[in-house]
Amino acid sequence: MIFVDHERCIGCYACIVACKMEHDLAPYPTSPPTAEPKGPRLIRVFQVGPEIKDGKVYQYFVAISCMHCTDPQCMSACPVKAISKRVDGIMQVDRDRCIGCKFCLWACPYGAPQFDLDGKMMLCDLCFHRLQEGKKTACETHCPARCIYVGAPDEISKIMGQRAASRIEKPRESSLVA
Amino acid sequence: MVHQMSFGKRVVKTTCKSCHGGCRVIVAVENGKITHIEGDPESLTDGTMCAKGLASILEVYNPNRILYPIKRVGERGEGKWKRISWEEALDLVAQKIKEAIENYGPSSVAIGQGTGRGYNRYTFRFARSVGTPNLFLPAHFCYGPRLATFGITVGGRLYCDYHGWGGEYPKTIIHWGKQLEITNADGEMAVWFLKALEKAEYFILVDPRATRLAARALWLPVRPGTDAALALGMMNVIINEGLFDVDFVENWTYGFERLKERVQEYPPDKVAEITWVPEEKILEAARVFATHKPGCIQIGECLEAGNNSTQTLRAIICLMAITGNIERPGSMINWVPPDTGPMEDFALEVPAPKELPIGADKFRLLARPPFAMCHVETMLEGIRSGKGPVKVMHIQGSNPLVCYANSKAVLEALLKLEFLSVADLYMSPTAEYADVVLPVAHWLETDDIYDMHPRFFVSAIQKVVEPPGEAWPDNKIYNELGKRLAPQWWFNNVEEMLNYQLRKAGITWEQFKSIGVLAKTGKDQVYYKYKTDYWKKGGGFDTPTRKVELYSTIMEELGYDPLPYFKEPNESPYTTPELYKEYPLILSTGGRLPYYFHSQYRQNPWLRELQPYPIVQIHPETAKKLGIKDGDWVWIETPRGRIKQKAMLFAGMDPRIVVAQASWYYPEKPGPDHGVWDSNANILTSNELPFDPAMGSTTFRALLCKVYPVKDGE
Amino acid sequence: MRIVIVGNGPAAISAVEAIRAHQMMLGLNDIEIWMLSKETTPAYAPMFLTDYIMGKLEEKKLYLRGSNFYNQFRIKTLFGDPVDGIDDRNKRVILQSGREFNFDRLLIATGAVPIKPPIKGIDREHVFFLNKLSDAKQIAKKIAACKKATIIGAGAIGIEAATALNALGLDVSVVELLDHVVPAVLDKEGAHYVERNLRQKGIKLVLGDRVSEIFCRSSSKGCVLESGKIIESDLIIVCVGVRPSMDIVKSTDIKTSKGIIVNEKMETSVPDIYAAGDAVESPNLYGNYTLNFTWYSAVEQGWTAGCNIVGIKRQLTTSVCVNILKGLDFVAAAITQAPKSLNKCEVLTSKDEEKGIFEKIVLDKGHIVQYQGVNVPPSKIGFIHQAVKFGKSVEKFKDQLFKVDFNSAHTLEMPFLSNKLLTCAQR
Repeated sequence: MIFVDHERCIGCYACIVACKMEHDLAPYPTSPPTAEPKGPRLIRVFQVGPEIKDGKVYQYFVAISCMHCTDPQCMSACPVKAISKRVDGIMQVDRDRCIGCKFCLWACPYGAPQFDLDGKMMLCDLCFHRLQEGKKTACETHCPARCIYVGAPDEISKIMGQRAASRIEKPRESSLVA
Repeated sequence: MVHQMSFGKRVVKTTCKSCHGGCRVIVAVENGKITHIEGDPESLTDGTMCAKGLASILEVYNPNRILYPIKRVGERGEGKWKRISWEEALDLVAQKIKEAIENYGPSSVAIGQGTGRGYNRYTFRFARSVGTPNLFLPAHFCYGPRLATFGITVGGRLYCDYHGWGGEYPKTIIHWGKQLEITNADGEMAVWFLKALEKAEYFILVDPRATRLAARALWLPVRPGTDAALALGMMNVIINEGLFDVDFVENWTYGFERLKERVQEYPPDKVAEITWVPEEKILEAARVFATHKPGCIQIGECLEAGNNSTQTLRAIICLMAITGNIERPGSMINWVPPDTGPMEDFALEVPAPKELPIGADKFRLLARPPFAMCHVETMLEGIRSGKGPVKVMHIQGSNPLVCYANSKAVLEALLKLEFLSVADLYMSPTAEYADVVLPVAHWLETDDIYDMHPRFFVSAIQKVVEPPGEAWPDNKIYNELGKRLAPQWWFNNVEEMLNYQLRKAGITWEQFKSIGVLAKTGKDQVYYKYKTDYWKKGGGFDTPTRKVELYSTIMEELGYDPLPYFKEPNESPYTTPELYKEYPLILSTGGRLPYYFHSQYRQNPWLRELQPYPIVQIHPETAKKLGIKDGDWVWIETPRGRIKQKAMLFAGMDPRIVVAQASWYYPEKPGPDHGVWDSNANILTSNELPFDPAMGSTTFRALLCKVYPVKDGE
Repeated sequence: MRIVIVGNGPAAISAVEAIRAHQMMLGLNDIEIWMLSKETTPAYAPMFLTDYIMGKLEEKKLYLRGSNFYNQFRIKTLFGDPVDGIDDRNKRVILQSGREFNFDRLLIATGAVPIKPPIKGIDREHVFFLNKLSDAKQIAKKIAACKKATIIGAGAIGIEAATALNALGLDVSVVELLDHVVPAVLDKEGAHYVERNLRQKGIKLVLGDRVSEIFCRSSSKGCVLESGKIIESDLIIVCVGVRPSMDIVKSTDIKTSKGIIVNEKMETSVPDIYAAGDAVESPNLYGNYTLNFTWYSAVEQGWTAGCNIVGIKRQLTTSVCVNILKGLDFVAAAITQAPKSLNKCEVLTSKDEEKGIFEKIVLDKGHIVQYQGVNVPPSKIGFIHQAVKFGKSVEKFKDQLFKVDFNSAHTLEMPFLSNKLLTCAQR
């Protein structure tokens, strides 16, 4: 449903802030400012590396949000059934039921559950309010590296296939080929 | 464009000014409050934005904004202010400037701005209209050298052609000390570059650090401050192996034979020793750039922040020239400006002051028209010593206490001024020491024409909401001050001023708001302009010889070496071996970040959350020897002083290098200093080490330091 | 078909949801579900009893499902009348009151009961267990009048109870038989950081000792330790462990060992009788039959049992024990799913004494079979949890595992990029 191409991600963090903008998330400005403001991040960016092995640089960035898994571990983990999957596959949280126990966080392999200032859980909602209007998600729209793809699984597979094919078809070996 | 969507709701298209870029954005407003900002997918930037632009809503609604003009009532830095009216504030500032001009002459007034942010032409025009040649700008170590060296070598600024309008995309892209993917600086945008990168065949990264794209690049891990040698070494290979563009060199360059002689001093094995780049990489990079054309080189500011900035840039421009990568599609282009003509003319139409800027005798390229600029360190020294000439300063959007070398010396100078006025959005450490502080409006609260660098488009910044309190946009402040001091050059109101700037395009400001962007793209851009009358009748470049001057006649005229050369940094293992014993690490300061812009945005929580504390990158081997673990606070010390930053173990660079962040202060710490002495890299830098002889550039990127852990309680 | 479920905990609730969900799918009509439980409240989450005691969560918030759950899922309930025994030959359960229920299928989800150590005075009125909501309610009522508390047993529950009472202002001591806290969760090395934090909070730890007598005199109340030490306490909570609640299968053919033995389909040795949750001993990924007193497992087992009860042959071949310590200033966790013998396993540890970080990873041919982490990011726990649960090989990124911020991003195939050019240019 959401695919981030780690070979294109440049670790610019625009997706994180686009998501904050879209969902009006904490932290909010204070006076005086806060030294370590913290708020939920529905998409997170990670840097892996750099490591230099045999003169080659190994480094990449990737953004990870809720993967809206087909077999959501968080859903079965939630004691009070606050997490559910919509018909279109997008995960959602009933924040009235949520008791902030974090069992979902300890079950999710992606660290997706985020906790708001009130201690209740929040998940990436795949910007369905934007998808409904035919727009792209906030993260996909703003990514300057164009490395975020959101769509139905077969659409995503197609895009991944196209990109792999374009690398093979290049007439000479490119520095960008994996 | 303003659409009436539904009752109480509006959508406004405007231009972001959070960095140099100028992305087009769509802003939603409901009942007078901004509810949403996003990129405009139908614009030149495809609807992309960066973290800073996206966080702009928190700038508008930030409780720390300065709301009213204030005047100091206690001692400087005491933090005692009295609210005054704009009338009073402007009258006071104007009066002080006028008095200084009358008593000491126009050179006693300095007008300052920090990073260029699309209102530079107002600052320049204001200074000229008031008659002072002394602009307090970081230009001599930031962008000024590019301006000057492109000017004297090629006749005008060159930009990378990522757009393919001439039918070709670059086959080889070099990023030389540049992280365009996160900075969107100086006229180019990450989104254009990244698209072009997908189409390119070779990507060469010249940088001491393995930055974000290093895994995709031929990475040349150059020793800080040795880039000139690398460029000359590459030219040595290209020329000696006969890989240069024969046609272009023979017909369109001047001084090739002499350049050829010069580069013989830089064979690749010697260059490898100097730069710490393995010889085979130098050979490969040179051969690739020369043979896989078109190619372009993106130059970064770090090349301008050293003692040999001018010749470093000259060498790189020569590299572009001898490979024929000038004005051909997919290489380096001087853009045809939009119908408005170059917006800089708004400043240049006011005659230059009669007096020469401070430092003109020493730094003659810096002082050369049309952008004659004063040497800031010399100016500040004059204030400190009392020898003058500057006595009064007006700073519009700059934080010199954080961004110029040797912050202690900067503060000393500011405190000796007779009068200092500062215009800013927040009470920066500099503003805390001013006599008058003027509140400035954010771009979401401003009407203006955005023209950061003369490139192929200008766009409209359209006011979306009213500014908080009584904050005014920069252009209004300049206009009102200008009216008081030199009314013949200023306008009744801002709209008139904007109309005036648009006159060549035959449209008014109202019309421009609806149009949004005036651009010359696609077929409207002209390549190979030197083969036409564009610059000179009968063809050629806008240089004295009408050719690309590999051998610069202007440098010769000014008394500098007309050919590029390499010079060791002021502080290095080779020039100062004794110092190296005590300070055994090479320090670079000021690497760019995607969520801060110099000292901006520390009070923006969405951005501050991404990295709350300054980070110094240390190689794991070095860290281990020093007993430093990832995340530890460490002292970084130079002969000038020491600062604290958080260590990040970074394996992507030579263990002998350490990279500290710059421009750090802590707005949450109490005033007036706001923690400016804790982690500010300019405590470490020097305002006395030899400057670049032609441009007076300060050294920020190649110093020596030592690093050790912070002990408990320190 | 009549399905009788003994128990009203997570396994039971999960089973009911599985039954009703698949019932529609299979087009089965007539399924009558009876839930029999000795407790009288709606199903609740026993992991949050300390939150209840601390006043953080009210009783309603502990309930697993909404107030209309039993109606909505058409469950017939009989609460408050405990099941006495099962007549497996004749397929009926007998309740304490004498009432009987016939069943077509039976699910035993009786959970676990606290181990009652043979300490003199353990039945005193100021001694409690912390296993059921009724325990928590009694403790909560008593707390206002108490000043000193002793927790017997420094297991996960004991530690949780200790920190909860400490947070409420009581003077807390913990007595533990072994020489370090949470012995079933962390090794001594990792437990050291937990002990450090507990002591920082002012909780007294008495290790390597045991309570020999609990006394209650008019002048003082408390316990006497084997070492001779006396700890005054007006509130004592016994947390020495739990064991599967198996009494009701005593005179049946249902095979038991440490718990009720079930296979991957949650079937017991007797046809049409299933079991799930804390009461069972089930096969894990390595064919090792283990007890698993954890939430995640109970839910999955209940669901699996429910599926199989209505004829969907679903197999649960994984049984991962996830223990996360609550109440500390950091997250500490142990995640285990192991083969019978750990002899040929590779053990990797990493620690930072200053920052109080400890990690131990036991690998069996590249699969994590045991993980202990102290002061690690919770998102890392999530990743390790899944890696252990599904037996994913971590061999490829073994050297990344100990990075403080290790997460799923580190497991993408490291792209082999850069410098194909070198070979090109030199051709």
